[in-house]
Amino acid sequence: MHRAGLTLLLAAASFACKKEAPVAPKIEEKKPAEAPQEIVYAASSALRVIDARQGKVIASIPIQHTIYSIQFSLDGSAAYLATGAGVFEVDANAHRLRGQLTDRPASWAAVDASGSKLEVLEHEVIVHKDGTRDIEPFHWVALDLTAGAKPIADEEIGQRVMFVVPPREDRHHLVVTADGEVRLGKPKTRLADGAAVALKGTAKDEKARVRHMVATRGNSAFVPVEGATSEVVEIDLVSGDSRAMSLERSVRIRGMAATPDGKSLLVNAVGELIVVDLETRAVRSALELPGAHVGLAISDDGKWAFLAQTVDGTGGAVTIVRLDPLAVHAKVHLDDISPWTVAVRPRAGMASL
Amino acid sequence: MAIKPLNRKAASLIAKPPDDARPFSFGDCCPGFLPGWEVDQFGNPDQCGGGWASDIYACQPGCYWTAQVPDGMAYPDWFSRCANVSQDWVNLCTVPD
Repeated sequence: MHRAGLTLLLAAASFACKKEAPVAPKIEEKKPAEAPQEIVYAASSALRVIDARQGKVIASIPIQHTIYSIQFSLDGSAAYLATGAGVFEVDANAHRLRGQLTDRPASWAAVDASGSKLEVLEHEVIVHKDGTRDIEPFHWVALDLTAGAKPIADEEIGQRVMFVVPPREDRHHLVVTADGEVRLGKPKTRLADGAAVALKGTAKDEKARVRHMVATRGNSAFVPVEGATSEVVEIDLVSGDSRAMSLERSVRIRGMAATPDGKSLLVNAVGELIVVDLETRAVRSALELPGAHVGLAISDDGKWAFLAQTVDGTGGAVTIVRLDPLAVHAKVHLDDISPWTVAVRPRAGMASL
Repeated sequence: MAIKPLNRKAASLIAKPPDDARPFSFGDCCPGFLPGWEVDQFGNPDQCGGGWASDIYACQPGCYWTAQVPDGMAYPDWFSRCANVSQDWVNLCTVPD
């Protein structure tokens, strides 16, 4: 399609998508004494550092590459950005780019529990002279953060991988592919050797589709399934067994995170935030959000949730939600970016501010 | 002219009753615009809440809509010049560029 065609198409889409404005949820009129103390990173292909207490941007870091995920070191001193051009490291104290650690497109990067290893999901794209492209198999790569991010492991997984929960000594690994296949592999098996599993509770809905994201907490992995009644399937990474939790409505899922105490799972369902009680395995409450949101991050103390509102006026926003009682606390407007991923800096790193 | 199925897959498709709701979404995304198709695959009205612009980032990494949003795995840096979709969407290249 020519650029002019695309322009017309997008312009028409913009016009057509205008509809009656949803009733805005009531935002707390009187700000209580307690306010979030967090430093929040919000990004698209640029990174903005937000002081949630002040409700404003305190630093801007131009990356100029598509940022797919943001993860912090355990002490909060560094942030790792998985981007379309590789992994970048940000000095979270000085709010500046520290360097580039890898140079292949990375869709996920996470620091392991020891804090000494950065695990990256990446793949190579071969661009031929005629413009055609070959997508190479995805790899799981581990970098030693104590030795200048030196690669210490590289394992091929397979084609079109969207998410990996890496192997550990005593638990299964988990791989989610772009076509919604969920593969589990027993402990100590290679990531390419996992077997596709049928998630319990979803077989009755032929159109149900796994949304390619995973949230983890302890030995549980949570996989969202969008369908006539959307669900979240909890997979026990020790036993490999799975159980579904109904969200009681048909929603698209754009973010998930378990609270630090492991009692609740928050689900960003685009226009609402759904709270699932992980003990009763049922929806406990839901909050209408002001507009469509993507991504989700929770503060260390489990009191606040942060969601990216991709479009807010001519820019975007980060919506701050108080979790008890469940209410929209504030919105931080971003003039110049439309964020689609958010992360909260660990409080361990706050002392250096 | 009637279309005749030439293999078993085509026969199974033609035997299936047509959906009465025509989805504007592709898989689990809603980056497209097709007049008269403004429901998702489950018959719900626009689940994206704010149209394609709000969901275009979430859709690109794992899927695509032909000629509108390229496959994020083949074009992992397609958004590199689009930090603000409301302002910068004109920078999004067509494929092939």
